[in-house]
Amino acid sequence: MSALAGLLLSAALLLAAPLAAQDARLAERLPPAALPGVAAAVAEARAQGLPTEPLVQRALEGAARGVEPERIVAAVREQAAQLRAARDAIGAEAPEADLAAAAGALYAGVPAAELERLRDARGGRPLAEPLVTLADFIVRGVPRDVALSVVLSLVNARLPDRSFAALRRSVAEDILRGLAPAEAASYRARNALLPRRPRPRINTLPPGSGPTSVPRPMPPRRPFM
Amino acid sequence: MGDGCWREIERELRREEPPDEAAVERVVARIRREPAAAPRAGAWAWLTRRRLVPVTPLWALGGAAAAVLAALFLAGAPWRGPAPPDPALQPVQFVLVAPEAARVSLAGDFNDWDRDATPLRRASGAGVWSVVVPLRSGRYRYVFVVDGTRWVPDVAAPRGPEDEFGPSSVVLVGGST
Amino acid sequence: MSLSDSELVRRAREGDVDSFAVLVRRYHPGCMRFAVRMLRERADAEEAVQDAFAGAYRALGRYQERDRFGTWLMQILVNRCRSLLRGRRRGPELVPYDPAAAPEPAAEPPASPDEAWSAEVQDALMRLRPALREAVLLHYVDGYPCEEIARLTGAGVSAVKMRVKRGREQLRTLLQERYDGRRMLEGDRA
Repeated sequence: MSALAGLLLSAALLLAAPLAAQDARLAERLPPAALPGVAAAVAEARAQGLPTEPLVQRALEGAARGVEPERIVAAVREQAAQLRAARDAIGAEAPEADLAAAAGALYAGVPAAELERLRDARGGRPLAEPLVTLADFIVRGVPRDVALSVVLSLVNARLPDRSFAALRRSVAEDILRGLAPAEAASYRARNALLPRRPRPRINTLPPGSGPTSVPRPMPPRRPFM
Repeated sequence: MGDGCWREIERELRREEPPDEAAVERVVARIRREPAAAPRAGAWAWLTRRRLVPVTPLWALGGAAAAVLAALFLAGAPWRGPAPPDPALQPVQFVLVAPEAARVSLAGDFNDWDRDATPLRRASGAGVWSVVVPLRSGRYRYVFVVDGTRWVPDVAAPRGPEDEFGPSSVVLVGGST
Repeated sequence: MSLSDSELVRRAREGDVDSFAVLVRRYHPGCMRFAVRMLRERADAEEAVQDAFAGAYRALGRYQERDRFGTWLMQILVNRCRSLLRGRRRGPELVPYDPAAAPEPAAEPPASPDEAWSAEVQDALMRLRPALREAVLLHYVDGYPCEEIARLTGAGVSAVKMRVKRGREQLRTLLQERYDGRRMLEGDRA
């Protein structure tokens, strides 16, 4: 056998090995009725240059949860479509985490145009944190437009990624405590966006009740109109 | 004329509330019933903090177990399969409070949704379960599986929007959370 | 010797509940004044204020030094009052503003002209829609400038200015006649 043929054969074997491994996971765990549909969707995605691992994981989740085969296949196909749309919205060079998060946001009903807006506002930085935050809020009941506006303001303000995580935690706690989701998200976002500067001292105490007493500034009187 | 009216209104609106000692006492009594003010000291912060530092708080898993885990991690021993240790792996801790559970495990994108692959260990008598999983950067969806039957999202983590099979949680690994 | 708010907060965060109790004592009257004016019912006001303090206590870990405690607390209270108002069915205490409507007679004759005026001011206040009432109270009673109110409530600054102005105008319209009557009474007494 010539060296080139040998090389090609090795290459083919190498390529086949991971494919076989993936098929093995699907073959082992999926209900047989789901296998053809899922395998076809995965193959199509691979051919289009989309990441396939999220699709395999979705199928395995369905299998683990005992979902009917048709629903598994439908879910995998839908996710492939969302990955494709995500790639169109945020770019093929985006890291896989960003693509997955973007697909999630599309799943939650965020329009692709808004994803593009977020991408532009982020200026090339990773999108996963804002997108995960956006989806989290929507799932927790924050109206989509409020969630978008909140996340976009934080992105525009160039807040660090850890601010998103902190924001998610406080909003989740607020909602668990009974605050309306829209209110929780807006309130916490406002706090996150407050500028760091000393505020004018305004007294709400009865006079003389503490060392913080200062004369209350009277608002200017406007003529009666 | 108009100014005089407004001045009277303003004066009335600004009238001080007489101090209500009984009401203040009720507030203070309620505050005393609250758990510790500083979340850092409380269970909530411990539960909700995603820790990416290898040995925090492995002490909670018990000295011997912690030592084993630390040794495994530091030695780079494999956690799954025969792959060599990967410096890109980051330890991520998952915690669930489930005092009534007999067993708890994790199922998610990082273990092929295999409910038997990643059991949690009881970290304390108060029903706190935990496990540390080494993960490469990325976005993963997961759930806790309680007693093999109940699929429970992580209340402290962001929710995953893909919920046609049921609710799930998301963890982002790779520097930010 | 009394301690500053920041020092009390610092101690409370470390577990010293008594320090937080001092803050409660300090801010309770001001909070009650706002809540009673917003909600009218004393029981509701007390509930809102208690919830606000409890919420502030639970959230102490997130309180930042750069915030004034009173302002931060007021923001929590404003939200609590809004929640309570939203939860209420529209009852007689939330009559919409209508300058043509005759002012409601008091349930029982008040003991003094001052009490009557007091009740009328509160009635008029309750006829303002909540956003106006809130803006008027925060601005004229607690002295917050409009920019601060905008941050507290999440509205735009120009919206807040308009609410403050409209609220003041509506109150004056509702109460002008009563005020004139009151002046005449005082003239009689003088």
